[in-house]
Amino acid sequence: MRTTVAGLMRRPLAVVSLAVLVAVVLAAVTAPLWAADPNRINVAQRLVGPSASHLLGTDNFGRDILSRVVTGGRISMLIGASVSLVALLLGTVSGLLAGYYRAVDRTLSRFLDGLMAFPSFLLAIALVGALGPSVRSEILALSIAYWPRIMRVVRSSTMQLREEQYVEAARAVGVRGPSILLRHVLPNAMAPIIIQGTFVFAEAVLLDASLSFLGLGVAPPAPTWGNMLADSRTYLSLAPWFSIFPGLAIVVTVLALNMFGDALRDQLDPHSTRGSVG
Amino acid sequence: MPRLRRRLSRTIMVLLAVGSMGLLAACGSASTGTAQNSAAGPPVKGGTLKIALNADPATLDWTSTSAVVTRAVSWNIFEQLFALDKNYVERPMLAQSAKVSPDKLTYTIKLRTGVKFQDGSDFDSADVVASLERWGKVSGTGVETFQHVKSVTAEGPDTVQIKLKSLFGPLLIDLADVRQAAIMLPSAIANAAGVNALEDKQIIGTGPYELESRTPGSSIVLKRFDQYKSLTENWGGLAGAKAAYFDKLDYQIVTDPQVRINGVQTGEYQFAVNVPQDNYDQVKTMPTVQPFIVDPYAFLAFVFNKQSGPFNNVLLRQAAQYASNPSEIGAAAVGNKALYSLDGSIFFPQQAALHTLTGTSLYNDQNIAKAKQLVTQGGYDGKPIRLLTTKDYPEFYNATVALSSELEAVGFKVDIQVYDWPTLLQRRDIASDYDIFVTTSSPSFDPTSMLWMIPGGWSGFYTSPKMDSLLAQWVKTSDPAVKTDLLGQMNETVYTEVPEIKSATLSALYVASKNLQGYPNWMDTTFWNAWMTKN
Amino acid sequence: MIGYIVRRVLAIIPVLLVVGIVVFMLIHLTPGDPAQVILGDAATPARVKVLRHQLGLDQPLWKQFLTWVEHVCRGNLGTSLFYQQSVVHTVAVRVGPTASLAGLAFVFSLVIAIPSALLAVWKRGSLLDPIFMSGSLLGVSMPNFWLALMMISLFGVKLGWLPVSGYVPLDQGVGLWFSHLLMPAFVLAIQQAGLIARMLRDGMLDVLHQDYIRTARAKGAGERLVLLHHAFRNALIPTVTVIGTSLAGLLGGAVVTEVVFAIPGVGNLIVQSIASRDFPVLTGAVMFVALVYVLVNLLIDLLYSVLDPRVQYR
Repeated sequence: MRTTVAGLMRRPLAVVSLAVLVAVVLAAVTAPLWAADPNRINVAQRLVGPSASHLLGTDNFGRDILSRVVTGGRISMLIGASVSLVALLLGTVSGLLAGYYRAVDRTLSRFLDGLMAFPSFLLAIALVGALGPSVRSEILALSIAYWPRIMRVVRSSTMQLREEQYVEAARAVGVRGPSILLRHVLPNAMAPIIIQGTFVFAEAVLLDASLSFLGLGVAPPAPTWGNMLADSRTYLSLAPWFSIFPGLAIVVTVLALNMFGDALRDQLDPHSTRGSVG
Repeated sequence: MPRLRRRLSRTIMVLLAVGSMGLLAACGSASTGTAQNSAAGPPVKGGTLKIALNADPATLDWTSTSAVVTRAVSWNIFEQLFALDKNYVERPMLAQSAKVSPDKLTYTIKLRTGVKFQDGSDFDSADVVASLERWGKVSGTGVETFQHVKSVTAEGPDTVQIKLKSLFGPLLIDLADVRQAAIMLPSAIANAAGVNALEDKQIIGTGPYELESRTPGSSIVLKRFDQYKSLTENWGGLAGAKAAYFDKLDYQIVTDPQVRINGVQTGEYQFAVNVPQDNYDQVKTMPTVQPFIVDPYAFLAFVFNKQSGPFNNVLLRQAAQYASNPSEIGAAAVGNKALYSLDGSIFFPQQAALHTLTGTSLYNDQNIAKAKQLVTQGGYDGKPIRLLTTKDYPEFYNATVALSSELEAVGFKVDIQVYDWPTLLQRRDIASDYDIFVTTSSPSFDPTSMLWMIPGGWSGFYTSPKMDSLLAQWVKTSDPAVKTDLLGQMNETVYTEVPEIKSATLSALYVASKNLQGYPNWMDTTFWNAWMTKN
Repeated sequence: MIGYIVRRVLAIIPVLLVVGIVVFMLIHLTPGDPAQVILGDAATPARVKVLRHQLGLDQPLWKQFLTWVEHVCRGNLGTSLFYQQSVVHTVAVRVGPTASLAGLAFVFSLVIAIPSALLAVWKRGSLLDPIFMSGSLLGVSMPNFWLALMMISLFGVKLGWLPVSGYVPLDQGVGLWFSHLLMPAFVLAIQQAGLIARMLRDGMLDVLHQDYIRTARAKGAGERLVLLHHAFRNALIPTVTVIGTSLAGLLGGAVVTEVVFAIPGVGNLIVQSIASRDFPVLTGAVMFVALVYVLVNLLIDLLYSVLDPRVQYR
């Protein structure tokens, strides 16, 4: 672990991207202390460009875009983080079981093959439609959408690991399945899991934006980068700042997440060609 | 697409007033158009007009749906016995005249002769009987009307008689209503379709354009109906002379509003419906584009759930009405001052015969102190008000956000619930699901077809002995003075019983190529009598 | 081999059924009534009730489901509630635009990805590599509707080089077809290109560490030959896998792209049918996408055995 961290710190891209992520999280968390009320409406100040009183301008309700971007970061990051956590949890547990127990594999994989046959975006659209527009249901929908992908990665690592000598040795001395999985298999499968986690995080932030664009995203007035960007699209030429700043927030954050994930992969798993974004 | 349709329906009403009332001069764009027309010389025949439509109609059957996008296309194809003129007054269209018996229970309608359907057959009284009977089963307005109808019979090939069970003044205006309209179909088609929506091959009318092809989700193409028999009177609206100058009308379904506006700017389309009102100032400066303000379009309204929850109590409804400020809501909804206005009457100012300001003193009467007092007096329990809205129509959402901050200012707690349009449509009919929903009302042409105001007729669970009695008196009278008095009382009842908060009147913004000439700008787009000049 | 293919093809059937059932259940759990949508805002409750009955929506869900399953088993996907035409026909006319868009986007993404990956590996260690790395990530890190709208306002509106929206079928002229698809296909491609390029680059770097490359170098093979002949060839295998994944991205991304550019494809149909609660069309369209996806993945698996004779299927 320590060597991983030290190794990462020697990669400039990793350091930069981590710094960006920390800054985004800090800004989002501390926003209530210094930013204006993100939901304060002032119709007289609609679509005003960047100025001293509104550093990034105002939106179509005259709300301060700076405070909406930082506050929006909280929900967008919350969605990204929760989705990757839940999807990792689901995917890891089911992947471990399916990789280790053939019987589980047969039933679970059949079902997940079905889910896998949806592009995850379509599955998310259908799920959000059914669950309704709230942060909680969006997290649930995206987690289910990414679950099969993570399960597949974990399952294949587990299948490789269960044939390793030390696992067979443990089994030979009577260690039970669950404890083999937890003590021997899981730690060694961690690297691809964490890497997938960062990519899922990044994708979830993007997907939130696309869902908002289609009118299926998190319900306002709570700002997310996604719904801000979606709302701004009719003002693209009228008030470019309205679109550009939440857009930049997404691009910078997702880019940092992807770069960090890449660096992590190079560090943990230098020969891997696995892992994907998109 | 449902959103689109919805929007269209709201749009529909819009343009009426334009001509004679001098409204044209009131909206800058329209007057520009007129000026150019005279400069552009005589109408030019030919060409295809490409129109960017915001939604795909489920059907082109104008009787079966109230969706605006359907009528916006299909009133080029179909015609009614009576049709609204530019001032929203009914005129004979396929009828030649109507004679009312002294007891006002028998209407004898003489038909125009020599009119042909687009399948080549002749229009006669048998077609009228079949079409009206279908309308009486399929259309909301038709079902209402037929409750008063005893019989519809053909009296010879060019005469039809409608006998009533009881006095029903709005008969002719209902025949001209544009919501689920009484379109004239060949009798064979009307009988074959029955209560089902017409299929595309059954889209056969008498109008100036006929359906050439339709690709669901993509395009609807109409072509000129060469045997169209035009009237000569210049009545405007859906009535009078209709000259089809374009060879084809090519409707393209373009759901993104920004793309519609871009398409007109680059010349891919020559016309775009419903572009965001915020673009008005910008459009005015574009060299190749002209804006059309659609006014009246619709008024914003916040409808209470009057069956259960806090707004079961009329005091709390009044409190909310005092809390709201239509001008602030209008500004939030559409942005530009040129595109919203304030008027308390239940009818639009352009509807001269129906518009009165009597009884509207409580409109636009924001009074925070009074609202706060009523909140206390009404015993508001502090439970958050569930405010249903949708982002499918940005102006709905924008208006809701503005209202919610006004309600919070007088002590209500508000929970804005955003759904897509179909979900909202369903929830607003479930009493346990909401306290207020937002909507817009496009023009109606008679109090009896003003859905939101009719007790029991629509979402919101309105019951009102007072309104019931006013409406019952309305259908029985033909005395203009009594009518005016009733209209004033209806206004007053709306503001004291507060079934909904009537808010700002909105205009829609349509844009067209500068080469489009003679465009009537009446309600949800009509394209006869308009033509294109070449660059 | 043939037995393997037959088994795989047969396995598609249960997968499609799972897809169909999941979508059917999801959409029926969604609030919103198609009858209300069809009749419009001003419809009276009585009319809505009549139409619900006509469309069979007033039957209990299990009954609707059984009817649907029964029809599907007979190869009948039902009738669109919204358009009143068969689902198969409704979906079929949308396939052309989507296939054109996804196909062109796929070609674009390869055209972008392969040279840039080669360049990055060739110039590895220089500044070009990290620039390429972040560049390829940039495409993946941008909401594609945002990129699309900005491109429309630049190339469509400001410069007027390309049409801003719409679709022209191939038979009305290749030029028109291409010019309408150029922007949407590029937007769609840019995301996948980043993905594919990175897979290729990583694959090639992996291969370069292998013994046989060292041998080739020792034998005096030039860098260009090593890259093109050995590294690229061997990096193709993992890349083919990514292409499978990337197809999912193309089909998913096509939804948003088709909406922005008003292309009447399957993705647009899916969004439309959600908005109008056209259950049969939504189910049919999603099953179609799933079928394509599963078939392509099967093809890719078969392609493996061609590219890498060591992979054997039984």
